[in-house]
Amino acid sequence: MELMNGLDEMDKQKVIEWIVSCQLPSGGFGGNIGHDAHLLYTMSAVQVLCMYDAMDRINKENLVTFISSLQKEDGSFAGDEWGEIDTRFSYIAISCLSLLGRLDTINTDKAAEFVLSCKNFDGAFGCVPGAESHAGQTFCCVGALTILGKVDLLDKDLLGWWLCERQVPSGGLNGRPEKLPDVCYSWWVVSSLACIDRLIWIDREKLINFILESQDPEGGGIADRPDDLPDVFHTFFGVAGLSLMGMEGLSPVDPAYAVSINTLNKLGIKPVQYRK
Amino acid sequence: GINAEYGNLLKRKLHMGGDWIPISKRPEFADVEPLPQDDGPNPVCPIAYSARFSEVMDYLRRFLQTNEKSERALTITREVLEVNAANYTAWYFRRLILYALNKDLKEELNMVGEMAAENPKNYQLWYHRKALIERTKDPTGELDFTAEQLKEDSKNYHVWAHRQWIVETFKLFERENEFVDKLLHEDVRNNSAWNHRFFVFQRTQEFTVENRSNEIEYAFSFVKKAPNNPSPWNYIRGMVNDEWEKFPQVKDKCLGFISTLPSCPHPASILVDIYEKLGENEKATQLCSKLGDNLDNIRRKYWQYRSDLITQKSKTHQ
Repeated sequence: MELMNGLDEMDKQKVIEWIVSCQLPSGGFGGNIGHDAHLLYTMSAVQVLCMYDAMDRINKENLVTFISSLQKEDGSFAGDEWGEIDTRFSYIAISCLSLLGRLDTINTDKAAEFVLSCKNFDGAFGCVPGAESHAGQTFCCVGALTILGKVDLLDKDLLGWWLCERQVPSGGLNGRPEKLPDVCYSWWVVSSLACIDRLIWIDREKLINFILESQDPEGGGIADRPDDLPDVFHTFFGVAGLSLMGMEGLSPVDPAYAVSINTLNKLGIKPVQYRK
Repeated sequence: GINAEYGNLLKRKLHMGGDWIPISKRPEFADVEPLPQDDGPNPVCPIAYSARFSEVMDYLRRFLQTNEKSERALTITREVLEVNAANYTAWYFRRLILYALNKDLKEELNMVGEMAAENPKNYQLWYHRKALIERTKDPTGELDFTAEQLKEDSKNYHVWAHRQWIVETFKLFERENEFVDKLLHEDVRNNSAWNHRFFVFQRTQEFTVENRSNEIEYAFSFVKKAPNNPSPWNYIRGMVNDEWEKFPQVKDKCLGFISTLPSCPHPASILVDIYEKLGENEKATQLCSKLGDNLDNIRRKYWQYRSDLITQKSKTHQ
C-alpha cells in the first residue's frame, strides 16, 4: 500500500495496536496473538512499524535480544528457539537489527561468513551450505551482505549472469533453471540484481509486461502468472518489482530492505544505489 | 458479499467431514475447559475460523497453558495440524510431548510421511522430521522416503535439502551418483539433481583435473537430449572453475556444438569465457555480438557488457 501511496486507506492505529499485541515477553513476534515468537513474523512486525514510524510502541531491547540470541557459533541464525537454520533467517536478523540500529549485538563477520558458505558453484545461494541455488534464498544472502556492506565480496558478474538467466522467453522470471516463471521472482531476482547494480541485464519491457499480464482485471490483485488467481503475496512482489524498475506512479523501494526509500530516509539509512 | 460466500464454501469443504467428532463430544476430554482465542478489544481483520478450527485451537491453547503432556494433548496437536499444518507451535509442542511420553519415533516418522503427501512443501513438517532423526540418530529408510517424495515432485526443494542433510550427517554418499543418474535419465532438466551431484562430488572427491574431466564428460553426455537446458552447461562451468586452459576438450566440444546446435546459446556462451581467458579477444567479442543480436537476445545488455569489458581489457594490454 505504501508503494502505491495508499497507506492512508488503512487504519494505522488499529494495525499498530494489533502488531504490538503480538510481541511476546521474549521480545519476538508471533504470527498472531498468543502464537510463539519466530523471526518470520518479527520481520513483518519490524517492517510495518518502521513504515508507520511506531518503533517506540514496542519493547525494543527485548526485541534486539530475541534476534541476536538466535545467532549460532558458525554465524548462522535459527528461526526460533527450536533451531531451524536457513539463510532466510540470516537475512531477517541482519535486516531487522540494521533497521533498529543494533547490528553491534551480533557477530557480523561470522554472519557474513556463514552466508558466503552457502554460495554455490554457479555463484548463487541456497538455504544451507550445499543446497541448490534458488532465487529466493539468493535475495536473502545478497540482501544480507549488502546491508552488512560486504556485497563487494561477491563475483557480481557471475552472480548477475545466473540471475539474468532466470528470464524466460515470455519475459517472466523463474527461481531455478528449468522451472516456471512466477511474479514473485520479479522481486527476488530483480532486487538481487539491483544490489549488485546489474538490474539493466534484465529485459525490462518484457518483465513489466509479464507482471501486468498477471494482474487480475476484475479484482485488481496480481497472481503468480497470467490467468491465475491473485493473492496478497504476489501482489506485493509484483508491485515491488515494478517499483524497483522505476515504474511511474509507484514510490521507490529499496532492494536490500524491501521497504520504501521514504522509510529508510526517516531512519537515516542510505538506500542502495543502482542503475535502472 | 461474494468473498464471504466463497469463504464459507471453502470452510465447509475443508472442515466438515462427516466422520469428525467434535472434541467436546469425546469422553477423554470431558474435564477440559477449552481456552478461546483473545483477539484483544480491537481485532484488525478478524479471521472467520470454522467451528472445527476454533475448537481444536481452543483445546490446544488450554493444554499449552497447563503444559499438559499427555496422550490426549498429543491427539490435539494432530487435530490442529490437520486444520493448519503450518502451526509451528503445534509442531514444537508435539515434539515435547513425544519426548516426554517416550513415544515410538519411528511411528511418528510414518505419520509425518503420511502428512507429507498433503503438505510436501511445508517447512515445519520437514524440520519436524529432521528433529526426530537428530534425536533417534537413525537414518534408516530416509533415502528411500525422499526418493518416493521426489517421484511426486522431482524438484521439491525441501526434499532435496533433507536428503542432503541425511547424506552428509550419516555419511551415506555411496548410492547418490547412481540416484542422480537415474533421475537425470528420467528428466535431464532436473537442476536439483545436478546440484546434488556437485554436492556429492565436493564431499567425496578431490578437485583434480582428472576427476573434474570425468564430470565434464558426464555433463556433455546429457547435452544432446536437451541442448537448451542450462544445467549441464552450468555444471561444466562449475567444474572448470575458470581454469579453461586445463580442459582443452571443452573448447573442442563447444566448437563442434556451434555447428550441430546452431541456435543454442550455451556452447557460444562458454566459448566467450574460453576465448576471454585465452586472450582471443576478437573471437570473444564476435560471439558476444552473435549472442546479443541473435542467440540470446533477451540478455543483450549482458552480452554488451561482456563485449565492452573484453575490449576494454584488451586495450589496457596493448
